Amino acid sequence: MNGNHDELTDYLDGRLTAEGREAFEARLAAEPALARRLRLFRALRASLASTAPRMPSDLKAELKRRARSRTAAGPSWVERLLASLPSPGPGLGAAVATAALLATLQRALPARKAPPAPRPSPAVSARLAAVSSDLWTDDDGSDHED
Amino acid sequence: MKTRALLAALMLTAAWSRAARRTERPEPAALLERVLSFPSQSYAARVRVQAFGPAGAAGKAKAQTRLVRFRAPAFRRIEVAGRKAGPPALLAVSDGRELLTAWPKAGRGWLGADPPPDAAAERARLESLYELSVSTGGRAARKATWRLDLRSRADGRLRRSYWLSRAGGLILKREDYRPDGTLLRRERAVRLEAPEFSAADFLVRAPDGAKVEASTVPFDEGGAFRAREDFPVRYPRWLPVGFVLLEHPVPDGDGRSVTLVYTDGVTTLTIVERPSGPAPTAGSPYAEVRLSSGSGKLSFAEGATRLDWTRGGRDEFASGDLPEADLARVADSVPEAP
Repeated sequence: MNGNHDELTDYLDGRLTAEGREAFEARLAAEPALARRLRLFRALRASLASTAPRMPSDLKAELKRRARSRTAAGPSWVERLLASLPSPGPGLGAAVATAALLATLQRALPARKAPPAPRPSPAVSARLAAVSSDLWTDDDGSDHED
Repeated sequence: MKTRALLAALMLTAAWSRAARRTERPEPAALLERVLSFPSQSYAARVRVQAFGPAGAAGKAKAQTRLVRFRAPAFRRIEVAGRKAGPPALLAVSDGRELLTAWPKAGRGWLGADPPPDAAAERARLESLYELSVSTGGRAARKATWRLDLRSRADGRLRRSYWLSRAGGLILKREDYRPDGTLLRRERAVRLEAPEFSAADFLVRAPDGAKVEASTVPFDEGGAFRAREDFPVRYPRWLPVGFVLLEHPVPDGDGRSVTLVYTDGVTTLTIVERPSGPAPTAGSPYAEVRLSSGSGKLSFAEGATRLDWTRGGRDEFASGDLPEADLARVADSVPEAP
């Protein structure tokens, strides 16, 4: 990590001790490049404070919904039913037969589909398209040298 | 007669020596050291990067061409060619201290610190995950190679392979695989070029016409997002080449959790930070990886790998269709404090 980066933000945010501030200001006087970066940071913060757009409410809601959707998928109904069966023992034969029947039923029934990935909001989709459109092209995936 | 016998003996000895050198394989640890270190010599290469979707995914593979220049000891320049002729679609330049990432056609970019790679930490992460092996690797960029395979200690499956040139140890090809065995990415040097550079090639400065912000938000292209002063966010300090912050870091309703989303155009990386507590996972953890903060747990579901870890009293996870080793490196780059 470049120590200058953290020191700049700490200095601007007033998080340096008195000694640290004095030492940093001495460096600013001695290092023109560091002083230039400080001016750039100050100008950036002032610019963003006056021009930053507000977060669209639909984007915020979309982000929250996507975060909540990233939770563990519970066990399937077959798994829950199998977990409730008695452990192998005197009834091992019956348990095996039951498991085989359930496995057959599971194959016969439609497979439980994973929930679809949440769709990004229009603002995010536009930004993603702008990033990807010029960076990637379709490819046949073959491994060959030019 | 004696002269002929002597010549024959000399020729046989030379042939045997050549054969011995050809079959003398380097140790896996030695090749790993080359992978984790900057090359000792400058080079330039045209690299083809291919991204493959998960099993069952619709659509074709995606590809991009990069012009990579490296000047010892740590100066790097990567240009990603656009669809049409003209300035590169993406430009990344590092002088070992600062990293400039710019999108010249869009006229934007960002400038920030470029933390030096921690080879010891990376070695610890990789060795906690993989068994290493070396084999002959065929040819890449018309160079004979050694192949270094990294197989998961958890399931024995191949996760990553490097092809390194036998003379010089340059990484000429790399393939990454998902935990389900499908190919994730391939990077191949299709041609090595003469390392003829100018001093300007590695200057960390904005391309002509591009507005580059010295952003306090890492990988925030164009200063599009406002750094929140009321909710300090711990941004990762390292991401794979080409990734940019896509969605504003938004705290959850209670103001205690935050989501970061990055993309490189084909892959999305999500990082969620929340207070410590029961951690829901998308799938059963299959492996642990060593991190500087302790260890993280890897799981895999729906074509995406996820890494869960705890740092500074908060739980975090990073999820995306990315190599697990890259997720681990991202996790280790998240600082202890904002």
